[in-house]
Amino acid sequence: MTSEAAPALVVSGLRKQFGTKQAVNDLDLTVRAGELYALLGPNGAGKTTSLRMVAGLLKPDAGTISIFGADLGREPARAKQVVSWVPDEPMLYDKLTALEQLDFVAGLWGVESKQARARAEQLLRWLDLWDNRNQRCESFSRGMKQKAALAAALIHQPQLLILDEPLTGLDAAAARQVKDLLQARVRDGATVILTTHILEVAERLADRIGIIQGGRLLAQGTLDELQDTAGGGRTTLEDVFLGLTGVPSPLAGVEAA
Amino acid sequence: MTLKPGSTAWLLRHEARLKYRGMSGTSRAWTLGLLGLLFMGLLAAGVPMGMLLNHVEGTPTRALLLWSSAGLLLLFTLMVSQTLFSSAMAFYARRDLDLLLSSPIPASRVLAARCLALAANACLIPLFLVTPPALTVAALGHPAWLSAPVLIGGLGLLAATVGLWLAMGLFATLGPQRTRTASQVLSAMAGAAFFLASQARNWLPSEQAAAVKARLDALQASPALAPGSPLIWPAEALLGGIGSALLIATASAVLFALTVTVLGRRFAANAAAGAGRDAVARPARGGAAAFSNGAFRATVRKELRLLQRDPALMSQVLLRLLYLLPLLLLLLREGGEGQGGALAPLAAAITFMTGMLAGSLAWVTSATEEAPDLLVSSPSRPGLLRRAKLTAALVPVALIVALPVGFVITRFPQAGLALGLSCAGAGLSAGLIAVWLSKPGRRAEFNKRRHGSWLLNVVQTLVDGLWAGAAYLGVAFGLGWLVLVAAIAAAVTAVFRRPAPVYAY
Repeated sequence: MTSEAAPALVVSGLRKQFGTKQAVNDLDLTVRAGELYALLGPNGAGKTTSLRMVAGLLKPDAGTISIFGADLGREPARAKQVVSWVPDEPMLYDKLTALEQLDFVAGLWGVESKQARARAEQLLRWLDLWDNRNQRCESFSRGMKQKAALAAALIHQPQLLILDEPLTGLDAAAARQVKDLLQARVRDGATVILTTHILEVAERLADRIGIIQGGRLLAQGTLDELQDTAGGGRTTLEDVFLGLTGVPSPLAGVEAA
Repeated sequence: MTLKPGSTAWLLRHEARLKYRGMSGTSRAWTLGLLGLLFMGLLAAGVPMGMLLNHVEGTPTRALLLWSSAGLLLLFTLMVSQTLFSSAMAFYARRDLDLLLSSPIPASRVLAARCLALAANACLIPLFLVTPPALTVAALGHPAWLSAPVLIGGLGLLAATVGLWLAMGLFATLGPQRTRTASQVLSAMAGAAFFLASQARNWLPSEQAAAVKARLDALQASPALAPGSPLIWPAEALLGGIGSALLIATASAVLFALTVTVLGRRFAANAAAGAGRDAVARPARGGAAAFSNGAFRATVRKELRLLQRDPALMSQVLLRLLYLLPLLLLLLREGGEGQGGALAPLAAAITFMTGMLAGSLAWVTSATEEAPDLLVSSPSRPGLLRRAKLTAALVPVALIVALPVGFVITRFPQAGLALGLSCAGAGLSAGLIAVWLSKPGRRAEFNKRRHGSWLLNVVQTLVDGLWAGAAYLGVAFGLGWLVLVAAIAAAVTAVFRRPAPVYAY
């Protein structure tokens, strides 16, 4: 982690409204280059909406997004060039093979073909998909699809990788592979932002954690910093999360009784 | 009315409800309104028919029976082709089948309900057209004419039986993956075969056409087609033979019930196999080729691969070319005989079909994007991606149209040039209009792609027609005329230009 380097992502005053619902409300967020940042929040907190705006899929009502110094609003191509977005539902073409999927994504990001081919082999081998490289994605299990989507997202070596619930539906082995890959990317200098409902994952992987609710950032920092912020002797991320978001323990009433 | 849960009638109501809900709200209201009006009109149409029957005596003539037999044969073939396709689809309509087959309801009952729905679907339109006038005619003193709806219902059951057996045969021979495509091709070919046969006089060389006519005349005179023969029973049933109608309907119902009983378990097994088809690993041909350079080439390649790997969709798109076959045969005949008399209308027809084909493929490549977020999140320009998708749609069209255009150029160079130019223009215009005006959809909705988009319908037909006119005039009167009409077609196309899709950034 290099705190002196330009931030990977700077979001300021971000707002998005759907009908009468304020999905994102004056969100300010800075993610440092080279860190793994976990964005947590209850359902409907605005995590996915915020990240979709960062990925360039949604236009904010207000606010700015800067990716490695490139303003997404003014220089979208430059900003998008260094970002990859991996949603919870893999963006795959059922009738394409894993290798063809990577070929297409490499083409979209303008990766030179020889380089793309070499990287595709490396990624697919790493994710145990090389033997399945010529099979159509429609025949893949949920875990294989998620891994294929991740490989495609990494084909252009993004500096900023954004993942929405990347471990949903994965078995233990596949989840471990994905986590290892993300940590390896961070070691190589990339920045990773992920959302997850599995707090243990954030606790174990993330350098820093942001907690969002009602479209606002409630707190962010390392686990130690969050524990200090939450106070009250809270020791686990789950305690901190529930304390900050104000969600009562379901057994609170039972314990009292 | 409360139906016993799990009964055949209850399952049928479920099928009917799904079918009804499948129509969009707007089209549902319009359809019901139009059907109401049509029903009243058909009831009224029975009045002159009933009055006419008061003055007709004796049994139907041999000629009338033969023509009615031919019509019924056509109707039955179309019903079978529809039930064949629907039966095959039943193995793939998985969402509710999983639920139904995992319930304690016997599989044979599920099959019975589904097949009754198939039969009803196949005979609904003819039954709707025949029943109201038959009711009026019966009310005017000719109750025997109620035989017509009875016959149609019987034919529907028989068609469902045949369609189900054919689907089972395809499933056993080709496996679950190819059954749907094969059934689609077969059902489309059944319709096209009648069209080809009806046009035989136009495209067959004159000696062969005369020979076919002589054979047909001999067939008409054969005892097998004489009144009272079993082959003529359906026609007699249609024309007031209530005994024949009841016989056919009863026999069809028995066959249908037997089929449902015999095939019940196999149906459940096939449905399970159909569900597992996606789990079967499918290696793709040519998958390990070199990677593409650049977004344009990568997108063109991706779209062509997706087209190539969706044979069910491609058969839907390309089977309409079967209707072009008589024209091509006529073209070959004209070209072979060194004449160019029919070239102008042929060129117009080929140009029109080119536009239709290009519009269909452009809809597939541009409106059915499976991963739109992937494209939007990429740094590639929307306009470039749109051009790539249009290019991918026009490549197969160019390959197909090159055949007739090349043939005409070798025989009649100027006419060939006019045909080539108008086909190119029609393809480009239709493709652009589809790219500009189509709403996002799914490939499975290909046949419904124009529902709710009257503008797309009107503009596409208008532009296809203009280019066809340009081809006609260009071939008949020279290239000057072609240029004039082509300019109008291009101008009309340009009016509907839409900017590239607006991404968030």
